[in-house]
Amino acid sequence: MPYGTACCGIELMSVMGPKYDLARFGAEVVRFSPRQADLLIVAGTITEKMAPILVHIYEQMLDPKYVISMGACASSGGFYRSYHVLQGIDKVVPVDVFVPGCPPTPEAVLDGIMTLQRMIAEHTPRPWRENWKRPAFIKSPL
Amino acid sequence: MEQIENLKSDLSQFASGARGAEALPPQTLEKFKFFTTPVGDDVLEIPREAVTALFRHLKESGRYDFVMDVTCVDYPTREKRFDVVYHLFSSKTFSRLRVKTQVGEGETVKSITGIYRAANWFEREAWDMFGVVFEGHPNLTRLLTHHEFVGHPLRKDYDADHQQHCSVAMPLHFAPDAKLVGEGRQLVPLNIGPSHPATHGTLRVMAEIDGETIARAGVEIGYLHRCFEKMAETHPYNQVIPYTDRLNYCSAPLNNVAYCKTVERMLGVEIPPKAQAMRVILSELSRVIDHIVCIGANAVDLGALTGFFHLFTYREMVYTLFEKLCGARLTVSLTRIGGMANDAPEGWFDDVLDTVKKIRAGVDTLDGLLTGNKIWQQRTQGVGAISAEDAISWGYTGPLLRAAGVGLDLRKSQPYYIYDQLDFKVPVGTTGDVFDRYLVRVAEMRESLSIIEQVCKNVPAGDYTIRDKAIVLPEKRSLRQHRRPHESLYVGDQRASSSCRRNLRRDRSGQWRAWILLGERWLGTSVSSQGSPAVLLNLSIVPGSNHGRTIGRCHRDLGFDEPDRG
Repeated sequence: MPYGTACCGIELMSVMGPKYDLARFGAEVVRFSPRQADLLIVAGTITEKMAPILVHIYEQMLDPKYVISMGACASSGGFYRSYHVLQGIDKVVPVDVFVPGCPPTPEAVLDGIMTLQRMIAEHTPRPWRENWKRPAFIKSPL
Repeated sequence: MEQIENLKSDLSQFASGARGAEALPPQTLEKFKFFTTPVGDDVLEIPREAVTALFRHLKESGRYDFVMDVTCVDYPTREKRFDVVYHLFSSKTFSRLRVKTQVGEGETVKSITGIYRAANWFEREAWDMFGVVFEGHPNLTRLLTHHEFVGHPLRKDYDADHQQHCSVAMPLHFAPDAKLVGEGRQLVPLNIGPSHPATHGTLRVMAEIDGETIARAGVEIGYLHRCFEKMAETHPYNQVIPYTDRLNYCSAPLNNVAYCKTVERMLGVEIPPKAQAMRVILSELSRVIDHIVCIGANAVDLGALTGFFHLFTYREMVYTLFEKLCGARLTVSLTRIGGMANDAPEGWFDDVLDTVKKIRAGVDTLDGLLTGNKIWQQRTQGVGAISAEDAISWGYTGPLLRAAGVGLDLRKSQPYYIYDQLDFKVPVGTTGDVFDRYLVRVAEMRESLSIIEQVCKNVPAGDYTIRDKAIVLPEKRSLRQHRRPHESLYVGDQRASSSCRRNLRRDRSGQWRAWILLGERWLGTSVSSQGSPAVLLNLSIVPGSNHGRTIGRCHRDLGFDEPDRG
């Protein structure tokens, strides 16, 4: 499931596009419903206003589920050390792979996805996922 | 200058008339200050009591039909702390006016939403950011920050990195004036976005639906409010350029140009002809790739995947051109204050010509794929139609405005750089519906390609940047010879050098503004010694326009409103 919010979302389009063609690496179908997705790619800045929605969507996904944080903003807030930007999505959801760049090149995103594929194949332990709890400052929407 | 004199006599005439005397008594008019800044901006300073009377007169007399921005500037040490700044524009004479009024802490200023509809979101934003209360505003709630946010972040005493978490997504809500179509039926609340393919992660539509029909809709933005203004306040001038890349990341160079042009105007700097030509080429390439994202992504939303794959091939070609210039694909930061970051590599202009030829063939294919396509026509025609008057009143700019039949293009009406020497047309639509917006964009892509060809065949010789050491860093190889710090925009604090400072001191207003035409709307960048924001406004119509439409139509309309906004 693509969670494109900003510049990285546009580069993610290139990853899906004809030149880089994510399909070659065993992942292609984009699902906009969290219930049908197993991988959440957060591509773009997540603001404080957006954070509860991101958590909500992550919780709606069915297990097993994985998260890739694409780019500097999603990974750390990037160069927005500012009042309305979440300083990294790992503060609210468990991240499996961080892809650096602002935005990352499509090659880097492909490498991130292949890294995750390798982790899954090798049964890499995921303590960040197993120990994850919804952060205290985010309430359940229900 | 002439305009301000005209305005002066017009206002005194108005005040001496029967209706005007009541609204604008002579003792109020005496407090008006008219002046023109050294760079030629007309400014009018008024007391806050006169706001409604003045704007009503300016609108009703037809002098200014557009309000381009309402914002504030904070001077914490001044007795009356805030300047509320209004930017007006006339689509007939292309003249602009800046109106300023001082407001103290705890004081209010009358809302002009009843006069200019476009002021609605601007005033909400100004309240959100600065805490200035606009009396009589129908819905003075937070626009950009989240609903649990405390304080007003663009005030100088708010720390840039003081984050406040939001605990829960804002519940479904509607503006008090949101009309309900067909009352008495059982309605289902439906949330569209912000994580939705048609809203691009930035916009949330809250709807109440009766079957497939939307009975009432509200809209919420700010999901991508990344605090550009506050970031710009905390960085030196040149370090702001990377932020401008990300204002509209579909066409980064256009934003670089808009920002640098403003600072250059402030410093009184003219960039060399070669830099101008390069900026025009980059701007037009950006416009093309911006339209590619818009048409390609929206065709996907409407069920046509081929267009996206086809068009992105050409977008990649333009990325390759950018990479040759600077190494980056999307966020390029290509300009510097005073010119370009570096010269074009050998043969780059020939590469551009080559790529333009390929894109032209691609646009023809796209035209063949969509324009005559019955499915495409039926899904777009008549959706989101808007009249020219409404488009102006809601503050539409860019292709959306031109699709509605207003042939306003800054490159023609107020030509900057070398646009007055170029041959191009301004495509205009008739109904403003999605099909027209699509057609205008396709035609604009062709015009842009033709502009690029004209410039590339005739690139002026010379330097790519000015060489004023006070503004531009010397090239690296010369730095090796003279290891001496330069007094420049890069050294010390953000203030400009001595020669520039003289220029600044002459300007009473302390504010500068320049405009260029972006891919999908106008961008006016304001720089003031204290910082001030600019907001873009092609979306504020969404709540009103959705009443009584089906959900599918809403999606189709949304995509072509281009909601990507940093």
